Amino acid sequence: HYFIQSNLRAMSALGVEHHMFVQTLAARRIVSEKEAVELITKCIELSDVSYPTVELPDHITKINSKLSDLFLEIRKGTCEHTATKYYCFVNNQEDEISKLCSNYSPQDFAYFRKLIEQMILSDEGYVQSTDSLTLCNSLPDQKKMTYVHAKALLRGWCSEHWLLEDRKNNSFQLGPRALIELGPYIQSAYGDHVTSCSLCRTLCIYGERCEDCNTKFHYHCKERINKSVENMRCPNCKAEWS
Amino acid sequence: YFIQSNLRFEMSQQNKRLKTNGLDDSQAGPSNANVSQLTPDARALARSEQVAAQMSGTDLKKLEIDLARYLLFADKKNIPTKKQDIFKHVLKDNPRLLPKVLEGARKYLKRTFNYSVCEVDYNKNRYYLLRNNVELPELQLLTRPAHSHSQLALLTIILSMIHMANNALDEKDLWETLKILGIDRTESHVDFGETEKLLNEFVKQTYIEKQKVTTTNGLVVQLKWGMRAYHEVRMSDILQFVASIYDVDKDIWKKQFSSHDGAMDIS
Repeated sequence: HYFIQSNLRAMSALGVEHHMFVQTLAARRIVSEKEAVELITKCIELSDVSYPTVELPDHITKINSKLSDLFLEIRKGTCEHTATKYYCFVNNQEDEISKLCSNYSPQDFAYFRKLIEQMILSDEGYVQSTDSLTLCNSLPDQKKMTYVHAKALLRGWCSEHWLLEDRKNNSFQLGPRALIELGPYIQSAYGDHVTSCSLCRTLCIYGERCEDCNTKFHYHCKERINKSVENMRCPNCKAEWS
Repeated sequence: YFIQSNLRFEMSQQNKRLKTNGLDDSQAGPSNANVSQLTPDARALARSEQVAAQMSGTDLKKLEIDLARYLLFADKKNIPTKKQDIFKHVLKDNPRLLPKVLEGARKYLKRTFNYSVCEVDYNKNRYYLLRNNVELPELQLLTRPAHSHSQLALLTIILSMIHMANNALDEKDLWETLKILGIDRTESHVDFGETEKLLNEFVKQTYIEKQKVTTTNGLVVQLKWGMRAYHEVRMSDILQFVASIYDVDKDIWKKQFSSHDGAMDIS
């Protein structure tokens, strides 16, 4: 019994390819699915092991079994705007320690929280660019945040995939990193005010609502169902979609 | 442009870690020798094991995980962790537990990331730095964001200059040489932005130290290697780097082979 146990433990130990992968994910925080597959392939190649096929989900499950003790996880999610899939290195325990090591000031945090709250509570799931900027005026600190600083923060958050800028619509919405990393927090803090997509059953902030039956859908989920143009009906109540 | 061409070489050298005269994973733990012959660290570990024995396994495990997370997140910011930081943020009520909790934290970091925790004594402080046990140069290119590659190249150049100046480089000389490379002290650089600000970042991350020294020219600011430079970079690699630029054999620089006067020994 002990022999089997100790061998199982050894078998589940992470290899060099896994250590390289998790180190890179921890450094880059969020990568697209395509990048993740390229990365694990490269890690396998560099560490001189061979697998018959590259099964990314299996490797991630293995890594997560070790990360979970440290309240960390590599979690998968989808961008609500582009439908691109992402893998995100997330922290599952919001404690004093993780707060200490953030790159942003408390005021920056307050601005971010205010922004995403607006996006979450709005039905469309986005905030107009001008409104996003003026939101920095209503922060509770004595020292006012300049528009220059707010603009720089917005740019930075977009580059880190916390937020996403929709240039055509002149608006900002939650980026894949915010959705993946803050998903559980959003559910628990705003439970009554948010809905899930009726098709994929995951949290839906940015999406379309059927006026008849009041259900909400991700744009890409709806597109997947409605293949032909004539078939513009609500997948739930079959009412014609304007 | 020689910064870019030497980047790959520089990256492979940056990856080689330096063994300090501090402790790392392999040296942790009490020896079987006579108690009176135990090192101070071994005595501290024995003491902490006594205190830990009075705790519940769950409570101890929580502290080990907290410390592992703290060391991991702090490393991301590239500011070295001091013993005092750990007491303040992780072991608030139980400072004596540090050796035992560190032992546990080491295990988590080793099996999850293959990081070791190095204890380095420097300037009367004890620091805790993570060391990457995966010695593959390509990994550095993967884990560091693209914009930081050129910053590391600049750091290597500056460390090389300091080393060739026997660990006492006048700040004035640094800027004069950088100007030749197209890096101006006051003008914004296409890769580095405000280079002086970046230099101060390197100082904050303890790669470089600034010291005011009285010389024949009066009071000047001199640059030396910092603790993190000794931890991450081998002098022989820096010599190899400089030799490759001048296309000579590094043996011609006898003086620069020896360790910096008054600084930490390299093994």
